Amino acid sequence: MPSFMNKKSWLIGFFLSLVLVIGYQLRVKNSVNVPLPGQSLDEYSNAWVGLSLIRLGVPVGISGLSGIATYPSYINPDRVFSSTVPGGALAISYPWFDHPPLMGLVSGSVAYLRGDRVFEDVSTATIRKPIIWLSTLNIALIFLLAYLWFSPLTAVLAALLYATSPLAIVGGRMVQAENGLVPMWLISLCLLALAEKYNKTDLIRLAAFFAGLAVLFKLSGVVAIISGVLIIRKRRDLIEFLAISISIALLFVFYGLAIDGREFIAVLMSNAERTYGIGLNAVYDLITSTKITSTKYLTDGWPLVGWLALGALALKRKLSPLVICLTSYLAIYLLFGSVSYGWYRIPFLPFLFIAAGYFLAEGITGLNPLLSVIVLLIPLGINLGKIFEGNPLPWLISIFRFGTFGLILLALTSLVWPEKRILSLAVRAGLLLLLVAAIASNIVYAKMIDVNYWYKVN
Amino acid sequence: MGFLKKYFIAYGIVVLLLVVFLKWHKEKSFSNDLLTQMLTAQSRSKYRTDDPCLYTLAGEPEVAGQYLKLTFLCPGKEARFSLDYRAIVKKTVGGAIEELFRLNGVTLDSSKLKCKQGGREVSLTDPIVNQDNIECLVL
Repeated sequence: MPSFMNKKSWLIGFFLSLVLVIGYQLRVKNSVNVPLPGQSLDEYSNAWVGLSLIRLGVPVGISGLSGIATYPSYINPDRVFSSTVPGGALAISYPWFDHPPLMGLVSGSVAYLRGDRVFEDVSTATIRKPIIWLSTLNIALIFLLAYLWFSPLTAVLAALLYATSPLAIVGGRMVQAENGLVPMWLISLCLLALAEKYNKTDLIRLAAFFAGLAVLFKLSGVVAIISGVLIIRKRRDLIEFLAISISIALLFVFYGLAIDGREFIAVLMSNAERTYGIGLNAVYDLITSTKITSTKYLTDGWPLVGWLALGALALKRKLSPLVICLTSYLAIYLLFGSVSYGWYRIPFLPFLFIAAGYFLAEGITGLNPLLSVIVLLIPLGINLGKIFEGNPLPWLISIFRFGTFGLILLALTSLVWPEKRILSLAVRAGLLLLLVAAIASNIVYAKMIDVNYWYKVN
Repeated sequence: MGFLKKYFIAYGIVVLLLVVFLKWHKEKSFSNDLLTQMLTAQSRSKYRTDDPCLYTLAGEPEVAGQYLKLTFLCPGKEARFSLDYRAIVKKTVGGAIEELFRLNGVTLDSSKLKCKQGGREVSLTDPIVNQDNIECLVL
């Protein structure tokens, strides 16, 4: 048995390494130009905040808040004023307290270490690198979390889907605070799951530390504290978790008060009065569309698979931590509202992919593969549609048409005659084939998204 | 609760050190000159050109009435720009041109320009007001 376990561990380790390499490569390719530099000026602003904190001891960035003193300035990194930014000067403010400073420090430190000293030096080629590392780290964390919450097969599928999903790939390049919040939240959740498994209080304390760090990336990181509180069962652990995580989150307040207390309070008040612009149809919009920046939608079927899987998980008697996390962030997402930028949705993705992985794993090993077959057709169909856009291949359409017809009927027949094992095996083989095709189509579609393709995305 | 007591003592020390460090760092590092340099200095990797018509500015500033129009007539081509008037620090013809040249990495000596405003010839030191429309010929 130990040798088998060893073999299994090696196999899982090898697989995970392979997925990490694939995920990293897909994220790096075209990362400088997709999304286009300047499509979200927050990316530069975040790095400027870090760079100015290092050089000036005061955060300087672009502010979108009303009632805060701003200084219209032209700064032209990557020549964004010749391409994506229409004419107007940037509303520079200092000290900039719109958000906590950790994302600024991550991207700004990398920019500083690579020799950037003035704001115009900052370029997407530099500042997107640490975000790609974090996004690749997410793949491993998703694997670990799905392994701890569900099963090795769910872990394998969730990691593979997150590594290759075009939406996760492109979103995982942007210098947005959500891309820092997510790994902190995932680490916190992994530690909580390990603490429960091995009954270790120290791990809960460490989980609390990372939950607090999530808030230091963005205030919506409070979701890491909320979900932790809802997952922890013992009262004593709960008190320690709350005390530590909130104290870490409060470092933002001490940071603000130390630099400029009056301005910090003014920004907090302005933030609290921000217009609620997410719209009343936010949930429908969230489930039915896959927005990536403020204007671009990159169609990807996997999040929808995740939402459907969430429905299946939520129906179970025992409340899954996955349901807790997704619905907690949904509550935060709706509360924090603001304008519905695509990156506000990034923290949903790891959990949607774990849910999708769970759903497909259930289809492969469980009693009912029919629903898994049907939901797999969503991302596969979308990907194939994108890949063969403008160049439809009649033979492929025929395979898709008759293949799916046959597979759905086969799955249905296997449910009508469950005693016929051969039918069930054939359906599972078909499901696996469909899954391999969906992942392959993910990779092909993701590789297609270069700057020329990006201009056509709307 | 023994752990939390120790934790908050350590936390208090960390917060104190953080506050002292941030105040000291700001005191030691902040200056308006450095801030201006960081905001306005051109990137070390920026391609420089002496052609003011090579790069364009996309779109128009969305500031009602607070704009300045600049047109350059280069040999065989012309380029039109709309700048946010508020972002021009030196409110002169030369100041506006300097701001645009900085933005686009143009190294052309401004004395090689002959500028007009409403058909009237203007010098680089002449003042500007918002909504001015300046046209410069590259000599």
